[in-house]
Amino acid sequence: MIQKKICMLGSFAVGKTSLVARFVHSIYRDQYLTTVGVKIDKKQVRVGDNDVTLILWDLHGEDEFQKIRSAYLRGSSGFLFVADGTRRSTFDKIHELQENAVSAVGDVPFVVLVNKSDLKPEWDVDAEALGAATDRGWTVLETSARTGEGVEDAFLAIAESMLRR
Amino acid sequence: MADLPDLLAEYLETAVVSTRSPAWMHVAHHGALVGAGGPLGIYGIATLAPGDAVAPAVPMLEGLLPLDEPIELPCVGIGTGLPADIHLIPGEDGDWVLILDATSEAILRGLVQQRSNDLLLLQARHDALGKGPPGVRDIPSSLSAVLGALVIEEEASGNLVAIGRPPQWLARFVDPDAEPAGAGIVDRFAYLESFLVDAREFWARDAGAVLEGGSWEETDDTGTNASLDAVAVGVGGRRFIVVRHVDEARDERRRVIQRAREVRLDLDRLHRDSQQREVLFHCLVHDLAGPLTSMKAIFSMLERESLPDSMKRLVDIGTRQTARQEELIREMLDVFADERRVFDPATFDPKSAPDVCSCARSVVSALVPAARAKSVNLETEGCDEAMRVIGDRLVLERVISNLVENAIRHVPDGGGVSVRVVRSDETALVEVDDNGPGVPDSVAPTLFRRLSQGSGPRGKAGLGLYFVRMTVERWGGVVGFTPMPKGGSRFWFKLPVVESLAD
Ligand SMILES: Nc1nc2c(ncn2[C@@H]2O[C@H](COP(=O)(O)OP(=O)(O)OP(=O)(O)O)[C@@H](O)[C@H]2O)c(=O)[nH]1
Ligand SMILES: [Mg+2]
Repeated sequence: MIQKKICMLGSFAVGKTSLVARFVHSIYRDQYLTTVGVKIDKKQVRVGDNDVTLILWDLHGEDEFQKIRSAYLRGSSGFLFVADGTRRSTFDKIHELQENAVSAVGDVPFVVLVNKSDLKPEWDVDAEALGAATDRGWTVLETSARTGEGVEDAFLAIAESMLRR
Repeated sequence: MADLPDLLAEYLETAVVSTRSPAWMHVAHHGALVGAGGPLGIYGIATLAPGDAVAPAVPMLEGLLPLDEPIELPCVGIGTGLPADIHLIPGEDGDWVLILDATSEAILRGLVQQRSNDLLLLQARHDALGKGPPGVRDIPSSLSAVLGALVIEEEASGNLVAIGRPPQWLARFVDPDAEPAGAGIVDRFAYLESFLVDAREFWARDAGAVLEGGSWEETDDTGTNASLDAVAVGVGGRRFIVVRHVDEARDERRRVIQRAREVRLDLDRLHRDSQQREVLFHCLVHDLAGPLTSMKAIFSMLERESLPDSMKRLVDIGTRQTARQEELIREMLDVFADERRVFDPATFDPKSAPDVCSCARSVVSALVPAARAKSVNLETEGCDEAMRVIGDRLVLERVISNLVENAIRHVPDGGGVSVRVVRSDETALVEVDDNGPGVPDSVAPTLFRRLSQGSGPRGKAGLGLYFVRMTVERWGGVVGFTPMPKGGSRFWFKLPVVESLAD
C-alpha cells in the first residue's frame, strides 16, 4: 500500500480545512473555524493501477504572527498551496510559502489551488497573475470547496504528480 | 534536569501524568511496533500489537521515521482524536513517540487566533470593497456580538471608541444605558488601563499583529468574579483592543471535552455490559420457559381427570395463566430476535466488516499479561493477511477473547495457547488451541449449550461458550470443538469472508 503525506499550506481562511472536509467527508460549512496547529486526515484514491492513501496535513494558516514550523513539513511527498481568489495577498504569499517548503523538504511536487471559484465576480486574482504563475511552470487549478468544483481533480493532480516521481 | 531535586522531579512527573494523559509508542528501526502504552485511542491512534507494522496504522508517522533527530509537533489533531503535542525521540533501539494532551493549549490558542483572523478578514473585506479607509463604525454590530467580545479602537486622535454592539457581559460592569464610550469602559477596568500602556508601545514599535494581554479577574457590580482577557491588535495602521469574557467559552468547551472523554471510556464498558445482559436475558427467558412446558403438561393431565367442579375451575385458571405466560415469553424472545436481525447478512453493511486477523491480534495482545501471570505462552499464528468477515468488530473481539480466556484458564501453569486464523474456501477459520487436560467426553457434547458448566473449580465456561455459539451462528458461521490427538483442546469457529459475499 502506497502512503503519501501532503501538506496543505496557505494564509488563514483561504479554505484549506474546507477543501479537506469536502474531499474527505463530502461536507462544507460556511462558518469559519480556524485550525489550531494541524489536523490530520486521510483518504484513499486510485491513480492508474495504484491505490494511494493520501495523508493530509491541514495546517493552520501562516501569517505575520504565526509561522509554520518546519517540523510539520517533514516527510511530505507533496504540497497543496492554497490561495483565496478574493484576496490577492494570499496568492502573492504563495511564493514565500513555496520557498520555505523547498528549504524544509527539498524539491517535491506541488499544485497551487485558487479557491472560492464560486465567488469569481469578487476575485482579485486576475488572469495576468494566474498566467505569470503558469509561465513559471506551476500547476494552478481553480477550486471551490463550497460547490465541490475542481476539488477531486486537485487532489488527484497532486497524487499523480507524486506518483510520477 | 539532572540537578532537579527528587521531590520536584517526582512532582513534575505526577503533574504531567495527571494533566496530560501521556501515551507512547516504541517503534523499531524497521518500522514494527516494539511496545505501546497509554490512552492512544483518545488521540485517534489505533491500537497495535507488538510486531505490527506501524506505518499503515498510524498514518501521522508517514515519512517521519526512522528519526535522525528529535521532532516536536505541537497541537496535532488526528481524525476525531483530541489535540496532542507529539514528541518524536530517536533512541538506540528504535524511535519513541510520546503523545501529550494539548486540549487546553489548543483552546486558548484557538480563541486568540480566531479573534484576530476574524478581524483581519473583516479588514480585508472592507479594503476589497474599495470603501477607502473603512469606517470603523461600519463593522457589523453582529461581529462583536458573535465574538462575544468588546472591541475598542484607539483613533488617530488618541480617542477610545467602542465598536459595534457591546457584548452582553459588559452590562455587568458598566451601565448599559449610558452610551458606552471607549474611555469610560477602559476607566472601569484598571487592568485595561495599564495594558493600554503596553499596547501603545507595541503599536508604536509596529512589532506585529497581536499582543496578548493575558487574562485577569474582575469583580462585577454584584460582587461576582469574572475572568476576562485582552489582546491588542494592530491591523493596517489601525489599533484595537479586544476584550473577552473567557470563563463561559472556556468552561463550556472544557465540559464538552471532559464529557467526550468520559463517553469514549464508557462506550467500551457499555458494549461489554450490553452483550453480557443480552446473553443473560436470553438464558433467563429460556429458564423461565423450561418449567412452563412441564406445568402445561401437568395441567392438561389434570384436565383429563374427573375433578370436583371447584378444582376444575382452579385448573382452568392455571391453564390460562400458563398460556399467558407462554405468550409473554414468546414476545420477549421476539424482541430478542429483532436484535438478531441487526446482524442479518441481508442487511449487513460490508463496509463495516471487521478484519478477523486484526481482531485476533488485538485480543491476544490484550491477554498477554493475563497469560504471562500464569506463565502461559500465548501466541498467534498466520494472522498476517487481512480477512474481512461478517460481524461487528467489538463483538467479534469478545468472541475470540472468550475462547482465549477459556483456554488460558484451562491450561496448567507453564502451558501454551495459540490462536490461528486461516482461510478455508469462502470462510475464515479461527482456531484456539491449548495443551491443557482436554475436555471430558461426557461434557464435550454439551459444551456450547446454555449454562453448561465444565467440571472442576475452573468451570466458568458455560455462558461464555454459549455466547460464542449464539454470536457466530447469528452471523452465519459455525462453532466447534475438536480434541487434540496429543491431549489438549481446539475450539474453533468459521465465519463467511466478506469478499466472497460480494459475488
Ligand atoms: N465562498 C466560498 N467560501 C469558502 C470556500 N472554501 C472555504 N470557504 C469559507 O472560507 C472560510 C475559511 O475556510 P477554512 O477552510 O476554515 O480556511 P483555512 O484555510 O482552513 O483557515 P485557517 O485554518 O485559519 O488557516 C470559511 O468561512 C469557509 O466557509 C469556497 O470555496 N467558497
Ligand atoms: Mg483550517
